[in-house]
Amino acid sequence: MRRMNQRVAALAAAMLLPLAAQAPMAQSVRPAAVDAAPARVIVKYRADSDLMKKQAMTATGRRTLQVQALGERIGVALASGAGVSDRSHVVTARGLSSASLAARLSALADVEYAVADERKHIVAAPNDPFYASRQVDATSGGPAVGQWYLKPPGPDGLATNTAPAAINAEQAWDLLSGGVGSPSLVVAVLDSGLRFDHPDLLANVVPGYDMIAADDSTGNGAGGSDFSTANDGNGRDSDPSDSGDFITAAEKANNPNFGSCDVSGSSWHGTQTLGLIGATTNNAVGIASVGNGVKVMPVRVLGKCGGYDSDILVGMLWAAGVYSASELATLGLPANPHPARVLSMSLGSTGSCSQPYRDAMTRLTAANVVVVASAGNTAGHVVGTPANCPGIIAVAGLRHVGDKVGFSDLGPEIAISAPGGNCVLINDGEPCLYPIMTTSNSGAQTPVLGAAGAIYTDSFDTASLGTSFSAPLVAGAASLILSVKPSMTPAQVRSTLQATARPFPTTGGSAGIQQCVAPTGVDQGECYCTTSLCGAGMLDVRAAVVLATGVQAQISVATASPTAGQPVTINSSSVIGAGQSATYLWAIVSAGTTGATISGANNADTVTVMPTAAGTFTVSLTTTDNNNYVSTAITAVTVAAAPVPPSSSGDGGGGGGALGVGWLMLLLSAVLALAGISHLERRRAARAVSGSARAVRKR
Amino acid sequence: MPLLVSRGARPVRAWLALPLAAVAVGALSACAAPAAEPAPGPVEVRLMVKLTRPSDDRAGIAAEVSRVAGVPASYRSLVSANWHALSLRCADPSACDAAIDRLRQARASFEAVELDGRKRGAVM
Repeated sequence: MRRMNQRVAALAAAMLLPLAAQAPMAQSVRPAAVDAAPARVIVKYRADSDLMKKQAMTATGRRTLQVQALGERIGVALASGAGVSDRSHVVTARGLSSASLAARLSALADVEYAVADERKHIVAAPNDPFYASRQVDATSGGPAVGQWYLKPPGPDGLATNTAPAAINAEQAWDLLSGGVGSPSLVVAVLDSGLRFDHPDLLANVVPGYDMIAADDSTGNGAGGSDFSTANDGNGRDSDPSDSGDFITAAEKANNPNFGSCDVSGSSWHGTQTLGLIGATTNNAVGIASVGNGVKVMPVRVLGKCGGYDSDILVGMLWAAGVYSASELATLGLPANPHPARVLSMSLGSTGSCSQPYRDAMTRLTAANVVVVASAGNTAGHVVGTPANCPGIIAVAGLRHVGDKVGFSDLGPEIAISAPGGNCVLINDGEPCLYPIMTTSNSGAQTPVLGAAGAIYTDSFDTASLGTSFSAPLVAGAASLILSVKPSMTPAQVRSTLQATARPFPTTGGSAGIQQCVAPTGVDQGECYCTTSLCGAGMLDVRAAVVLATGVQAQISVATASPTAGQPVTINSSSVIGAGQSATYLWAIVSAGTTGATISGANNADTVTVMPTAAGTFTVSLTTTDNNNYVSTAITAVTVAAAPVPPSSSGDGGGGGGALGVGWLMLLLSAVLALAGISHLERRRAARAVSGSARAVRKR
Repeated sequence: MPLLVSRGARPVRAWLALPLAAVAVGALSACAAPAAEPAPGPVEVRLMVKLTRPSDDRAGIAAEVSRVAGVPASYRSLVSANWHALSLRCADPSACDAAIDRLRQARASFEAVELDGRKRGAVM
């Protein structure tokens, strides 16, 4: 991944050079809040600046002298970087952001402009093979739509592999520093533990803990002799490996702890939920994950027949790092060296939120920890607990088209909805069309060890369905929000997710379904969500990251075929989120041979550039949003030569007939400028002369 | 309201992949006997108590819980400075209900009393 980032950086540097094609580049990405790298700015001097007269043996030496002078004027130690053109080059400094440095340099009289020199990234889908699609055989494989839930939303269509409820994670990754989630951001997954031998999970996992105490524990979760729930032969320890949660018929009959559970094989539930947040992305193996580089911490709280509240609560408080030293000492637990900012809890039961969870949430919220939980799968009944606890982001499940999936619960406690997997109406033996694909183990009861046991859930027996999978998608989204803005509080993360959620659809579901109603005590399957029952809308990760980061400058060239002597219209296509606004500043970074200048205002969302000759010019757009976030985009525009008109004499002999319109306009502009005629008048005059020239040639 | 009646009357659905498994969700798994089973025998119920005055004296906490509840209690684990997990051993489920009621009424010692119930993965 690091090598790839280096390649991306090299590409980004290369993109600053004039390009042969007219191609808008990717938008800027680095938020000032996490800007720990040196400030990096492209500065361009005014043509008449004294600094342009600095003499040195080499261009590098001249830039060094220029930068020293600039540094003295703003009181910052500057270093010179690579040249961009004869009057512009890169400047770096430490101790302030790129936006701040650009603003200070822009204020100097010698500087025509200074803009942040930001990274651009390749905009592309990850190369994980199952992301795009996965082969479906008669009884195995799939889903054919791959990881449909991470992709940009689109029409319901197997042919296009798009779905209206997809969470738009792929487009969000492009906005992240380095194209990945912050590796210092930890999401704790409180679940059944992890199969550490899955090769697609190892890169992003930080050490967790096994919090399942003995069933007959007699103090601090230690001791005891009955480890039937833990199923690993011991109580709390530092190994959160998932040893399986199968229930045999004999266990159900004879163990009073398991009487309420059905006979079943092992679920590998924790490996599945953690994979959605932490599977290694862009490693050409298996699947991508919404967290795309954030760290994940397995905290084992569920064993056979689930887990006890007391173990879950200890897991929550330890994972977040909020235990006091005396509490840790009494519990016999080590301090958590990797406190989590997000807890993902795909677990619950029916019932109201109990006081210990309320107390835990008070501590977690005070510690700025975001907690996400699944609504529950009782088919349209009231939201379970702890999802119904104040402060927890409760997540309901959606079908691929965006209506409520039949198994999901709903109610006013829901904050937002996300895909939970659905199969569409299928016949026996046919593949489930829209399950959530994730990591798992092939063991029926005990794990199959090593890479041989590492599998991905598919469209058949191992199809992953449930609000268990909706919650990790939201937890992963929260981790990306905090990646770009780590200062956000849990309430701000929640409001960001909600403000950017897409509206629920009112059509597209199965025939005859109705709008969802508040739980009445009877099952309620598929139905059209309302904001009072399914939260603010459908999760949109990109929109959430945009809102968290700031307006992202983007440029689009409106003029189809830029031609010398003709105005080129360039528009802002900046990404502006809900509640955001921006101001604009356009500049010519490099005119090259085109002689391009900005014609008219340079502070609107559209700019007109007038090139006078063929070649390539580079234009920048700097946006400043209502939160003072600054973003810059740069685009190279290729200008074709003005068409050579048919010669009126036919002989092409030397003389005035060989002069192009551009030359005439340039000449006239220079004359008028010398005469002190206003810019507007020059344009009017140029248009008049241009028309005259064409008229003359026609004759 | 008797705890077991209250909990048992809730409309329960499968939380996990187990369609009817949640009938005895939570702490009732240890305390409540399914209606179809024979006459209930001695049962253990897990609960959490929030102390009005923080303490880490495990033996003292268990002794106080046992004294107030009127049934044997054993300390299980600290959850936080205020919350502690314990077990009660009762002759039958109704005895555990009554014991918990007594604990909840002892507001001078216990700010809150909750069952230490089970949670399950929310997968179909």
